[in-house]
Amino acid sequence: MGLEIINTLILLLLVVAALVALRVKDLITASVVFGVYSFLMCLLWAEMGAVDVAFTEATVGAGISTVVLVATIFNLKRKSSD
Amino acid sequence: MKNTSLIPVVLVGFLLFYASTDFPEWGDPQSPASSSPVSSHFIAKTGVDTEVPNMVTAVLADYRGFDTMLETVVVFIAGMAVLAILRNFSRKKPVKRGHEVSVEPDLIVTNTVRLVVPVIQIFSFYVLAHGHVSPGGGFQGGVLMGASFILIALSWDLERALTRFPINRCMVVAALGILLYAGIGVLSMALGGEFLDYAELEKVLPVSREMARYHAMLGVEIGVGFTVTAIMFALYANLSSRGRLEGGL
Amino acid sequence: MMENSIAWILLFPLFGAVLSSLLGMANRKVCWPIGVLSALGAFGAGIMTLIRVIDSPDHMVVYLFGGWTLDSFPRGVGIEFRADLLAILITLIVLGVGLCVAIYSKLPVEQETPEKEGFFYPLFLLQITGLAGICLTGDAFNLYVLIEVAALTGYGLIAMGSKRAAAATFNYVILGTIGASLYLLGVGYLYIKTGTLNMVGINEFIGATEGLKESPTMQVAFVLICLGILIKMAFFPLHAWLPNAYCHAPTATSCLLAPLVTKVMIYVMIRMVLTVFGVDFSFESTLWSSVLPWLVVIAIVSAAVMALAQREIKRMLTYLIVAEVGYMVGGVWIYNYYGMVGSIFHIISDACMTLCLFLGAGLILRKCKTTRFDGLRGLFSKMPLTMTGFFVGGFSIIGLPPTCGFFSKWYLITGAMVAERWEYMVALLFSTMVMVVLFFRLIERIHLAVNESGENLGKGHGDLGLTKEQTRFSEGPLTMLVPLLSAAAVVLAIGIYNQEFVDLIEIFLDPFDLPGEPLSK
Repeated sequence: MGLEIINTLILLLLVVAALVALRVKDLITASVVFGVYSFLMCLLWAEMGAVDVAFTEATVGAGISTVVLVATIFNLKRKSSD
Repeated sequence: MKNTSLIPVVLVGFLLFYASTDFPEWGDPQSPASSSPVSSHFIAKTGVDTEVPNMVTAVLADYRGFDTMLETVVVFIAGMAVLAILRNFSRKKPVKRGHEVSVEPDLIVTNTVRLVVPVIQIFSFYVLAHGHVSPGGGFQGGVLMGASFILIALSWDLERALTRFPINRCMVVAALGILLYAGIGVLSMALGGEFLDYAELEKVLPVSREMARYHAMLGVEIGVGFTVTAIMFALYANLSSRGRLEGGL
Repeated sequence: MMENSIAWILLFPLFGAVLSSLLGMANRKVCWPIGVLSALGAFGAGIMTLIRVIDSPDHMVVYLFGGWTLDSFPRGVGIEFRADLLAILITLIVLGVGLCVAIYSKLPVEQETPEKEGFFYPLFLLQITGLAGICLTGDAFNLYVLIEVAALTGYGLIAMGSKRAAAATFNYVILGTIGASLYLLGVGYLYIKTGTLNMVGINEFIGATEGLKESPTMQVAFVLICLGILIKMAFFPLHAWLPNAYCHAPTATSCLLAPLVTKVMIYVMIRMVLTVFGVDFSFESTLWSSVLPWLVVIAIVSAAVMALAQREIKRMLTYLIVAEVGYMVGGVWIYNYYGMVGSIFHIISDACMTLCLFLGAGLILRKCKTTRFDGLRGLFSKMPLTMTGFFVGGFSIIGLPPTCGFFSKWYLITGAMVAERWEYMVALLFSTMVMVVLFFRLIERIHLAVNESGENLGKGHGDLGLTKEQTRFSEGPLTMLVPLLSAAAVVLAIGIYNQEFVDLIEIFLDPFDLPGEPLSK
């Protein structure tokens, strides 16, 4: 039962994170929110018992890809047009 | 425009919901994915076939090793493609970016990084080598290793990281990683098996067929680690400097 | 060597790519020889595999990676490569086109992407690896990985071109990623319902399990997989990425990608329909099969009309590719034996003739610095061999005998008649007419002294308004000309020996029980 509640909470937060990443105008904020999204995914994997996947998600999704996104956005316009 | 793109999104969303009406119960042992001969074989026989306690690593690096080799190649291609697009050989005077400011690296940040980087690197070796028994493996270890170099580039500047790991060496290491992975495969082919049939390596290693698989998996993971480390750093170095390979972020 | 020939098809270009990236850093000059040699090696391995497939009793060679053999392990534990006749035929086309373009690419690459040979050839060879692997694999997830290999190398190869190529690639990246993700989702659903990723395993499970055909999850999986593949093959409403990407790409890239990527994706669709989901499921249990033939008609007609509006050879050819994709998709979905034969044969012939056309366009671009229709006057006297090769491809697209395009179109139209799909036949004939107009307009541009706006530039009969200097014989370099002429020869040869190819295709189609199959078989 406890797991169910955590599960639902994470899933709700996931939806919120995805919507926020879509709505914000500042691309750096969006990429950081992507990092949050990945980390929530990582929690979800870990909670479901797929620890290997969770580990990969944490290193690649929340770690490297956020850094690379931010590094790229520094070379572009920071505001999104829509 | 924004609203028209909503239509396919809603449509696909509806499709996904419709599909989920027929899913098996969560964690149902009778569901096809849990009861199929393939997953029962993985669960029951992984230890017998390969002596590897972590089933995921065995599936990744041995049973479906060919997939993993191609995934490594995908990582290599990503680095290659970014370099091919961004690398500028014309040696024109670079344009200064608008927000660029030259400040000395921060003392607290650099000293923290000095402390943290060795720990990260040792941890990445642990993750890579311990992938057989605990979560981890070549991809994660490689990413951690690459992250440690990115950390150096972030806290000082790109040049400092590039003196430790020049971009050409990156590409050599990445290529060597694939060469190691595919080389193990070809070696097992030369010894009489199929491509990536690690068990045949028992003819050159002083161990049983199962342990040969175990050790070859480590070799393969090291190859993956090489490629991922190098490409992760090369990606960052090129993307953060528009391929000019200089300056901070 | 012999028993591992399937593995060597992929290993030659893979090792070639790694070597050329390593040695290319020291000396850029070695990249091209390595590229040609490994393409040649892969082609040799492909021929060897074809011989093995034809010799084997059930026309099938199975290769299991990692030694997870079928007799001691359940099917699907390891990754399986299955070379049946269809797979090996398409693979050979991929490898042959790869070899041709590898030879051809020396000068265009030096000219268009200077100092980047060390990046171009690894990506080029890995593209061949990916496409050949897609044809051979017998595992649904491995197929996804190989699609990724092919797609990522494609993005890199296209974006190496001009500034506009980078923008076009961005569109391609977005759409290509959506397509690949849809495919992956579909495979995930398939795994939930069947518990295996092996194509034969999936097919057997669908056949053996009651009620699986009506399951919403299976239906959605099928739709998602088809949708993903349709995006990847640039089927008409989803084709937006293709024209710009192939137009602005470097010459050698467009010569490799244009003949292969879309055709290989059609092969994937045929594989999914016939050997993964099975004929019963694909054609009779889904809504898809009643919708798609009509979409095909719209696709063919609109792509043909758009091709008519172009004033530039390369861009016109890209719309022709979109129209041809419509032909082949239609041939599959009219659900008829002859349609399927025509579709498969058209994959083979379309790859060859598109190769011809793009190689020719590359040569024209090199000599005239433009591929706009206005700059083509007097080309036949200037480069007769190039133009002959180019128009062999053109006549094959129109469908003039004895080129291979005639025979494949013949089978497609026969299929449409037997299945009584008149709308498809009308669309085919309409687009044939359009192609006649297109290519004869090109011939006119070359032979007449009138420019696009109708202004006369010559002085009387036979005069093109060009100086002697402009019409003097000046053929392209040999490394580019030889691939073009051999491609043209192959187009003619496949046309003349079409019965041999059709026989092989019929052997492959025999077990599938499609309607309209001749009784004598």
